Amino acid sequence: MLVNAIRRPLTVKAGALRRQGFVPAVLYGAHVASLHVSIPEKELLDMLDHVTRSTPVEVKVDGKKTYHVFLKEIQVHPITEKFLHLDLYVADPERPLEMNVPVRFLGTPRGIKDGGVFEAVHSYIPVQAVPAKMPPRIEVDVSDLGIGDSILVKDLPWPEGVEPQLPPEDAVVTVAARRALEVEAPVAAEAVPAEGAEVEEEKPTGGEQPAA
Amino acid sequence: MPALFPKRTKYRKQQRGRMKGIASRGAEVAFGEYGIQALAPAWITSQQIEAVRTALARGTHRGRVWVRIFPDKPYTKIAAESRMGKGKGAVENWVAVVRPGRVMFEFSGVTEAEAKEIHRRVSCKLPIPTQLKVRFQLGGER
Repeated sequence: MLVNAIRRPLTVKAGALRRQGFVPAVLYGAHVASLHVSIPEKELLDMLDHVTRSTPVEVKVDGKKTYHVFLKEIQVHPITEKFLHLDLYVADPERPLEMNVPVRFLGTPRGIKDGGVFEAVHSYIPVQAVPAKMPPRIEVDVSDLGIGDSILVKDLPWPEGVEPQLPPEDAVVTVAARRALEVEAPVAAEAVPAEGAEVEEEKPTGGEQPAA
Repeated sequence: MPALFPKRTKYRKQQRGRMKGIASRGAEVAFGEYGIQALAPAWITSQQIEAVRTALARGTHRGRVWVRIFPDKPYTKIAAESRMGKGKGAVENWVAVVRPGRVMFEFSGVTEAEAKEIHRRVSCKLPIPTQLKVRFQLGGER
């Protein structure tokens, strides 16, 4: 994929660029002096529709020099989901680098027809490889998974020169039985139900003492 | 009686605080496939969280639900027909402070059409406008 970028003077504010239909970006990496560029939003959206985080992208700056980059960081507005900024990383072709490679699941597990629930444990797997061998995605056929079956990191078809950075026994995908699943509250402490009591009645009266 | 509140807190009562700006953390779908994202600032009470959790559990009968907010802020109320003064009122309820952008709930294991219907039902349980958010993926990752 090729995308055209324009060098931008730092006197132009990022917000002004975005209003004009550009997305600010910074290009940096091995043996490259960092460059502030802007990319036309339409061109960027076309490009992002076809790539993954581990796909090398060609960026042509001012119609002259072309850089082979990876999308190291993508900043997105939390509500409008507009692209705010990109980090374009020029990787050293000789040196292995670590990246998160997306996993694409192919097919429908047969365990789902029996009432199981498809659980993708890892949607991305960190791998180490030289830029030329970095896979854009890992494809996994899950159609043969029954209830209770899993596909482990070591079961995946790893290309030569690509080293996964997860333990080989880690599950990538599993089909769980429905009953085993419970609602999770990742940020929540456990609730303490107190029957028939008001909240304030449960707490000690001391000002700085722990409440119920 | 609230369904959710902290086991213990350092102080019994809190000041009200302000809810300026947008959420800087917890604004992405991190666990499931879909998220319910707040579009306005609000105090979400523990009863509202429980109502949404129940609606999600019923709607995603084959799926999984994550609750990403917790009501850790007590709010107080002065008893009815009492004269002003004589100190701060008693703790009335517990709330989670939510700012625009916050992904409050997540779920997975349903189709997109089902997710839209679940969002419609869940939004009736909440005091603020919300939007259904899909996990961020680039085009080649879908």
